[in-house]
Amino acid sequence: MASRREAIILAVRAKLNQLATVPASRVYRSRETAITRAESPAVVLRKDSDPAPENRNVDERRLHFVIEIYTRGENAEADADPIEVEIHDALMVDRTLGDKCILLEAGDTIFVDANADLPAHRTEMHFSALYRVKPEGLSNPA
Amino acid sequence: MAFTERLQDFFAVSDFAVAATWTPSSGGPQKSADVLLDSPDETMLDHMVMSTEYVATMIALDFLGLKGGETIAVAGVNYKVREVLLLDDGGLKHATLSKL
Repeated sequence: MASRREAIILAVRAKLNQLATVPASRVYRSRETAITRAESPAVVLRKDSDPAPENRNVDERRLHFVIEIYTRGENAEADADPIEVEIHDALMVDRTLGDKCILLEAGDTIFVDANADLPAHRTEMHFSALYRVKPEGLSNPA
Repeated sequence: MAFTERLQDFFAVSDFAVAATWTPSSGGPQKSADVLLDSPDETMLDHMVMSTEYVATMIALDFLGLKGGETIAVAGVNYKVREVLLLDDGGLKHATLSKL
């Protein structure tokens, strides 16, 4: 049985597959190969970390994940903005992700540009999802 | 003994060079020169973005005034110039290009 954190990631992926600004065929999970001009814009979803719970009496955990947006063009950084807006709105409209977590929170957003053959930009949108599992299993909601 | 450099010998179309043309955006006649075109792929942004780094190497005195934003045709293909950089002693220059 999949872990709760996997269920959270799948719920996020399902939301990303519904974007109007980026086709589902350009939404990737943990992609490691370079994205070409023709494949842009693209979105990559990655797990970041799931630190040990601070409260040992309740197995309340926080899954950190990042959504990367890759755009190309003379205005690549500005071109990412409508995608950022749509992703933020799509995720935050239901901060339980369909009861997959207790509370979804938006974290840092980081912007990076590169001098490519066609200017390239990456926006990293960091999120964390608070969730509870029983101590005896990562799949069991508490 | 004096050594006379003939940079033109490195730019023979019969060997590795290709023909290029540029019409300055500020006006004036079309100019022609022979250049060496390289197009290696590189990755950037932590290996997540692929970029083809088109570079035309030419004699510095050819295409005088060429700068970023200009359009040149190399081997019949149009490119936008990104940057122009002198090389070594300044006898040659690189124009980094973006395929249009």
